[in-house]
Amino acid sequence: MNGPYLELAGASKSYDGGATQAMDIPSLTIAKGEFVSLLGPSGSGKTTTLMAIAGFLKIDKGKILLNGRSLETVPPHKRNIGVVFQNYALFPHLTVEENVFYPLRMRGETRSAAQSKIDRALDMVGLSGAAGRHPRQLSGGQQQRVALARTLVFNPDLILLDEPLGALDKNLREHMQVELRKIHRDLGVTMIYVTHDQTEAMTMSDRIAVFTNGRIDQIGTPDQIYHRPATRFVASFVGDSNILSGTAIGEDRLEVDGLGQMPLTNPSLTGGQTFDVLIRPEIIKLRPAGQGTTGHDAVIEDSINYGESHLVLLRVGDRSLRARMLSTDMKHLRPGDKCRAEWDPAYVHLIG
Amino acid sequence: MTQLAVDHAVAGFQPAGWGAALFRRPALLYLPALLFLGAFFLIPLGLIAWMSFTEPTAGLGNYLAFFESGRSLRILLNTVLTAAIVTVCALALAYPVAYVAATKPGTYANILLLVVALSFWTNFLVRTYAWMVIFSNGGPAHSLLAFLGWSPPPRLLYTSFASTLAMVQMLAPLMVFMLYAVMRRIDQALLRAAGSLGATPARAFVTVFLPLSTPGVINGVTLVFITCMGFYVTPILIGSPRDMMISGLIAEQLEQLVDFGGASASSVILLVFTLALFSIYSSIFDIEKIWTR
Repeated sequence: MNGPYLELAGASKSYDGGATQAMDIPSLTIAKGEFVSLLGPSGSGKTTTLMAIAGFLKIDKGKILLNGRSLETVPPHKRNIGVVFQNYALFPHLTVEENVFYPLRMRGETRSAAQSKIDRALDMVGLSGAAGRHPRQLSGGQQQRVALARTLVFNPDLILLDEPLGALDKNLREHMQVELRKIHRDLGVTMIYVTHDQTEAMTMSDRIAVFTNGRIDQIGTPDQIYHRPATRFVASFVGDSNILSGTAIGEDRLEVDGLGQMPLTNPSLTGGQTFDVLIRPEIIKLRPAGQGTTGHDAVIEDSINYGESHLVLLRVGDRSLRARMLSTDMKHLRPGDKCRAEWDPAYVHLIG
Repeated sequence: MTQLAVDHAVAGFQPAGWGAALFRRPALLYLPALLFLGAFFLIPLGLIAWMSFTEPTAGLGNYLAFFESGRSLRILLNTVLTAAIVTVCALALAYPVAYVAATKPGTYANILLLVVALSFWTNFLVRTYAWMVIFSNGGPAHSLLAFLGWSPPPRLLYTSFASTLAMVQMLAPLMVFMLYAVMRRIDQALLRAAGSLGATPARAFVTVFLPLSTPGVINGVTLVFITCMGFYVTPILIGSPRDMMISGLIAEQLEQLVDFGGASASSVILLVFTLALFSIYSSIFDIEKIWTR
């Protein structure tokens, strides 16, 4: 990873005279060319952070540096940061082409000199044919592309995207995710992407920052966030999860609330330490009852069919557990069946 | 056939009687309004037009008299000019007010709108009398000029200045509402987007807000101009008798000269003139297109 390109240091913003902490970020650094998602529920401070970087919101304390330069006194129009807004914010009185020309016009370029750049930007998002149309004549997906082209065309130092795909239907959204990634790869531009959709964050990002209550709980690669969440909130917000409480007994065994003792591959526990124990649904394996003696006795309470997989709701003792099974492994298991549930302790993660 | 009608047909539902007639011809719903307008607007208007050609003798005499009279033509010109000045002044005053009310929502904007609405809800005649008091000799405006060292202060009441100012005050709220209705719908994110794309706040206003507010400007200008063309009470009570507006002329023809034909002709000329201006203007601005935006 390169050195910091964008840096937030002690940046905070509160409302109502400090009663509501909208954003409090001791440190966040992003390298040049990175694709970083700010992930969190609504009201968690991710959009506030984005707006502070864009300059639409003044932070109370701290610093935001871009390429080593403090942005404190730089107004939005001089930051050279592109923003793709949630509802596209296309200018309805201008054609697609004029929308894309707009940032160049503001930089004093003439239409004829800018034409090749406009064409290239529209070509990049596959909208060359729509140059003369007005935004209202385009579909949501097309409008989104125009907004993207309008941002790409002036070669910003940084691109901020505020839930840009939120208003699109599922198929189109997945298609645009792939295209956005391709554009990011091709141009090598630094992108910060705000979303509340954890799947979107997982599939697109180099790194994810998980927000809650104005703070960043964890920042890391999608793998780190998913498999080694730092807090109970991250574990429950990202992906499906079973979170149980556990107490260490000796160096490599755990007494898990409701499930009994469980061996662990993590050594060096101290007896008496308490943890949140994260068991992802997909690490749980189910066998029909009577096959082998390892694992836990379980009853299948319900099973929800997702096509390629099933979400299985289990009862183990007095605990409910969620298991994710491939449909091919569900042939002999029905709701009401007794079975045995087992998992590899190497995949169990402790949050302490 | 509408989808609803198809659904009913499929369900075997057969509307009957009046309901069925309305169902097949929704245009019948226009009927009550049409009857009302016909009885109380179109027929009287037709009678006025008829009278302008027949009273006291059949022919174009009333129109010839109007256009041969220098005074009538001056009054018509003065009416158009006054309406234009009032419209421009009302726009200049109303635009900033509507802008603040629409873009900085909150208590302040609500109070601003309430003040505008209150002044609009006050009866025209009451407001005219209020202006008479303000402008009268020894009244507040007069005393203020004297206090500022204008000695002796000029007469204010019964001047075109006073009546124009009063008409601006009366019509500015209308302009505010027309502008506000359009400005409220302008997405503030567009201005932020303009900023992020490199526009200074001033350029963002000129390149984004101003063009998007033009439908409001066009609506407001049309309404204020046309309303002002027909103003009667204010110019009569506050204005200068020398700068009469056309409604004043019509009243004079009716009340003092009992010239029904002449008054009718003047009315028709005012109507035709207003419609002509409106059609020129709508062909320039393509109002249909702006309204569908």
